[in-house]
Amino acid sequence: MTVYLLRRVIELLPVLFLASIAVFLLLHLAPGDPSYFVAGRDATPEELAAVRKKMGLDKPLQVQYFIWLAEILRGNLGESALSGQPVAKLIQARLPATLHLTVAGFLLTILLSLLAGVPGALRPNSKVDHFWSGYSAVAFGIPVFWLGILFILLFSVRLRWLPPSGYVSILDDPVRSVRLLLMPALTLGIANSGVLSRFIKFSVLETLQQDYIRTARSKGLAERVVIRRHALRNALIPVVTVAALMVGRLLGGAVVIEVVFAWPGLGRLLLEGINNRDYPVVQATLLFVVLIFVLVNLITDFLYVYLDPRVQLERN
Amino acid sequence: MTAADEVEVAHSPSEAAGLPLGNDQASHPSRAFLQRLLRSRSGRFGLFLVLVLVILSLFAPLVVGFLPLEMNRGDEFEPPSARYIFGTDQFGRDIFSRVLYGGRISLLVGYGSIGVAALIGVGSGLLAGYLLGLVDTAIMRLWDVLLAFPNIFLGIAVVAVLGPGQFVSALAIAIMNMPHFSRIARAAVIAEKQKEYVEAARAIGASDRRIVIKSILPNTIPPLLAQIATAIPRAILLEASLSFLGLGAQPPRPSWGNMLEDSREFLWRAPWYGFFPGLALFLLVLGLIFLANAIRDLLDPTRQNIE
Repeated sequence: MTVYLLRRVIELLPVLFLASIAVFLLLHLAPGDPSYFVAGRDATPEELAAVRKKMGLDKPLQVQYFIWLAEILRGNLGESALSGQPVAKLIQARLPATLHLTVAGFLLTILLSLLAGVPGALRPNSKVDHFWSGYSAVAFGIPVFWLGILFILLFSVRLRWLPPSGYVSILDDPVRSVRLLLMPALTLGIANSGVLSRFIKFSVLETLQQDYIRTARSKGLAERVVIRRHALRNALIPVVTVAALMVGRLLGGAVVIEVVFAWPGLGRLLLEGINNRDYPVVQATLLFVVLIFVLVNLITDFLYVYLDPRVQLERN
Repeated sequence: MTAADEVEVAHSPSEAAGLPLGNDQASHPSRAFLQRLLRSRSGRFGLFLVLVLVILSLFAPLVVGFLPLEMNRGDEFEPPSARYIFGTDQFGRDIFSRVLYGGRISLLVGYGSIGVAALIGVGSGLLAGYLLGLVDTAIMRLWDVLLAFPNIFLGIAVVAVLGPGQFVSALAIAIMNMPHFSRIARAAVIAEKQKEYVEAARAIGASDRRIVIKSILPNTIPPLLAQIATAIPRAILLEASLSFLGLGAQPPRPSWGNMLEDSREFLWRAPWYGFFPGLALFLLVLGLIFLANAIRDLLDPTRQNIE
């Protein structure tokens, strides 16, 4: 097991390395030299040269890359070209809002997917099955931002139950925090449950056809025990891996939802960075997201091996 | 789909796809495929939704009385009525007209980007799978790096370099879809390459290019078709997301995404503005998903029993 996991980690290194080059090159592929943005439009050639020198832009590209990488590995993500603040601080300030949203969204995704996926699999072609199949199709096809807008139209504009936008940390004011979080997290949860609930349904259906389920039934176990202890447990192994992969979708969905609900998270930071051509912010945020995404993939692999020993045997 | 259909055992993807096996099925393969598609409920429903929206978008000038950029002074924020069936926006523009014209961008970017992605993806996949070695490693590593970016972020990265716009967002969507097509084509080539007919083709002196194009490529079509069918609704959703974020088609040119972005400011005054563009997008995506499910079922015999 250790060998397999170690190999996965080593395999990831070149991907991360190349991804970091891609993110680094963003700054240099973009039209216009970054020094223009820092020095301002009416800078004299001398001023520009001074800025270029200060930013290290006069050095060869590969040297610039390694300097940049070394700084990042030391935890220095650079400074915002706009405000001059350290980018690490900006990310730190926005991270809690995104964490609130993605964690709540993730929990709701799991909850809704189990709710929508399991009953249909236990009673195929029943009314329950048709209802939740319809739900899954709608949840899969509905545009995240439109769902968010519909929620605002219903719960804020019409019923006046919930505030349409804003963020408060759950540590500062739990009640207000939850009220503000409810719509964005539900939007994220529903949108992601479309894929996951279908996956759960097929996984459970497939498990129920296995020989060991027949064995469990024929030795006289109560149906409830068969379902809980034998079917669901095994069916949920592959689900764990897909649920973890959801994190990529979750992060992507969060960007859009942050815009709908004026949520001050990483996604908005990234978009502001693009609008202001604040490349250090864009680079660092993208790199941060890629790192999280790659790490989650790795954790997924670990979980899979841990939960299902057969995987390891096959791969060896 | 009748019970008899479900019992029918398909022996190969082409047979499952309704492609003729012998001369007894005289009709053209694509027509036979369409017939089988129309026999499935989800295929009929999907095709209907998609056709309605495509026709309305293409023939928009014949359907609507207003141009999408036409501002009607004094008619700002008109609720839906006989004159403006989806209401008007803050400039008195007819939302129905803007929705239909906006659909053109969704369709163009959706189909166009997937077309480009399929072309380049399959080409590179065939190359990688046939040549293997260094070429294969280089191409696959490139895709690994692209797949390290969650979709929307790859789009954002591309826009960060090239600036916002519909062509850039289409390009971004094409790029993020290439790895999937490439991997499918590569896997198919590697599987097919070991079969006897390829060896036979080589034995009679066929060139590499000929073997790949004439013998291997046709066998990769069923999985690629399924991939295209599932990728298109996703591409359309992504286009709308990018333009909602202000990174795709730029106002005043209407797209469903940028209209919804615009509507956020006026949800209290003009709730219909936030409703109709999203409804159109939702129905198109839903139709495409149903269509994709039906196509996938026809192409993959193992799935028919589950659904």
